[in-house]
Amino acid sequence: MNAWLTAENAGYATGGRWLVEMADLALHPGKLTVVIGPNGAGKSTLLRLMSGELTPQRGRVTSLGEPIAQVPAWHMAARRVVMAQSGRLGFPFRVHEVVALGILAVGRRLTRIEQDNLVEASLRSADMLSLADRDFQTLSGGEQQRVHFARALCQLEAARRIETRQVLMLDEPIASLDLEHQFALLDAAQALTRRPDSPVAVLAILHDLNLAACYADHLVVLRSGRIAAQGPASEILNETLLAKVFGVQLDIAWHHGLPAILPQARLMPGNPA
Amino acid sequence: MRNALEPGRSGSGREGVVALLGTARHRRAVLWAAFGGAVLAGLFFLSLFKGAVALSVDSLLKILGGLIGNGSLPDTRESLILANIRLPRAMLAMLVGAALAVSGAMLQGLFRNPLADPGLIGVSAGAALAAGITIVFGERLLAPAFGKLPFAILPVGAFLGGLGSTLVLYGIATRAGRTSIATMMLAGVALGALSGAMSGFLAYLSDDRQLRDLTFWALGSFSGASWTKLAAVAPAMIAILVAAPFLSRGLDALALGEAEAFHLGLPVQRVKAAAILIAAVAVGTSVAVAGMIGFVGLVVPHILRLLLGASHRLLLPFSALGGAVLLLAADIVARLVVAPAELPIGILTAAIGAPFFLWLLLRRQARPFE
Repeated sequence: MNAWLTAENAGYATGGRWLVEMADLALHPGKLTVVIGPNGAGKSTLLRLMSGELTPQRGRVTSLGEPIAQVPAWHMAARRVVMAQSGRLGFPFRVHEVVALGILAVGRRLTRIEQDNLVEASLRSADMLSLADRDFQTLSGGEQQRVHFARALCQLEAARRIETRQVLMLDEPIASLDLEHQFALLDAAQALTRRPDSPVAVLAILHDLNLAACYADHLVVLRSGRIAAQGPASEILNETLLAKVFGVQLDIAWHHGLPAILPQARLMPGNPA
Repeated sequence: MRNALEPGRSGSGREGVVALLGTARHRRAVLWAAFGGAVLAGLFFLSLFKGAVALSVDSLLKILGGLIGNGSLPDTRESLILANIRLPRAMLAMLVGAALAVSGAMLQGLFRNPLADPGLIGVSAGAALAAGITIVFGERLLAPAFGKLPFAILPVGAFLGGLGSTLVLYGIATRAGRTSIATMMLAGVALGALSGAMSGFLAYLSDDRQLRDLTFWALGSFSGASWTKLAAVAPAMIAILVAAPFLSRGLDALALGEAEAFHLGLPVQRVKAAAILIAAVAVGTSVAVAGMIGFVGLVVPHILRLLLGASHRLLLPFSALGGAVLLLAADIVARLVVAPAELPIGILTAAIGAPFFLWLLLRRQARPFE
């Protein structure tokens, strides 16, 4: 199957330093692609290149075969939905108003009732319906993150009427979530890739290596702006790679074909911390 | 969250939580609009017969009846005051109030911060400086060729000044799509001081009549209101009041940040350019006819956000209504407190607005100052 979003040899530099270099990455429908890597490895820059927010200085990023910069903003909004890392608001918007921002551009042709139902379903999916009328600014960090996830779902769903070949991009979506909601969000993202009707391609940046290994159909390991390895977690993950990329000695135990990455090795005698 | 999204799964038509919230907000907005409209109409009539010369309700009705009935005015002192002074003055106060409040809401949306106000961040000062330059140098340079300068040149000059200072401010305060409130405020102080210094220098260069004009800009007043002035600025002001609500979606999206607004599918650069243009036109034309009237753009949108929520779809039209109410009321007070003289209206709005601003700062300390 063809990829819906492709980076070819893409590079982006600022201040004389390449934040991302020679990146080749294809996002396929039905695949959950997870990017891992240490701080400053270029994960967010890679996501911003793929979303069209940044224009690559080398190589190119194409959406459905078109260079991404040539696709009008509103049409791009139907093809790819982004949940970014920070999400502060300057004004006291209500939770349901923030979610409704998702259909601002892509949901213009929907009726009032369709829009309300969409916002409601998105809020329910993110387990935020009970806080629908709360001032967004007064929510906790994790709750704000769930609101932004609901907003992304809302945009994704509304945009299906315009374009069914969609990509969802999540930049550290579970950073402030409790354990239950971490699983719930990743389950929801995975379910989108398993949809029988035109499955979504998902790109997520995660920090938790175990969750990354569990959920990734395709794992991308970034180090110093370059892709150090990519492929199924079971094929590319090993102690040598993790030591090289993260600079930490870890053990990998395999359970039913899934890796469990254990920090205990660091505490064993004979291993440098 | 365990279920994948199924739109319409709730399928309950207008009974859903979100639909109910929307309906409640709509009902609240209609009520406030009716209330605001009634207050504005009341103040409008009050402003017609209150003042240094008090008109009786009787004669007011008679004059208005004659005006509407056969389009003519009785040749009395009362009717002249009404038709040539109070009527244009009331209309100008409403227009300027609406324009200033809308420009405040626009600038706050653009800077993603509720503390932005054209007076506080140096936009009004820039407009006043440009108006001052037009007064002092315009006549010297152009008078030999054109005779007396047409009044319409002033709003154009003030608009360019407001536009210039907004652009400089935005360029300084926004880096990589993020606006720093601290930088914005400090740059605004610097811009205001610079404009003030240059206006002071202009005062040094100007003759007595120009000096009086310049002092007028600094404090703000509607005492010079006339049909000529109204005609010079009304078309531009009405145009921006009509255009502003079309930016409400864009400003709502911008509240998330520029990158996020782009992700949502908004033409971010166009929205920003339009917001800057509208704010500059509003401030420029207001300063040109009424001088610097501070805090309207800060106080009105803030109160309205408390009443109606943050969405610009309601905020922008209601800011126009609220600004008109506030300045019309302030103008009535300005004419009455020291009658038969009158207080510059800028003094009044600052006396109310500055403590309000301090209160806002105190209240915000509970939250991160972003």
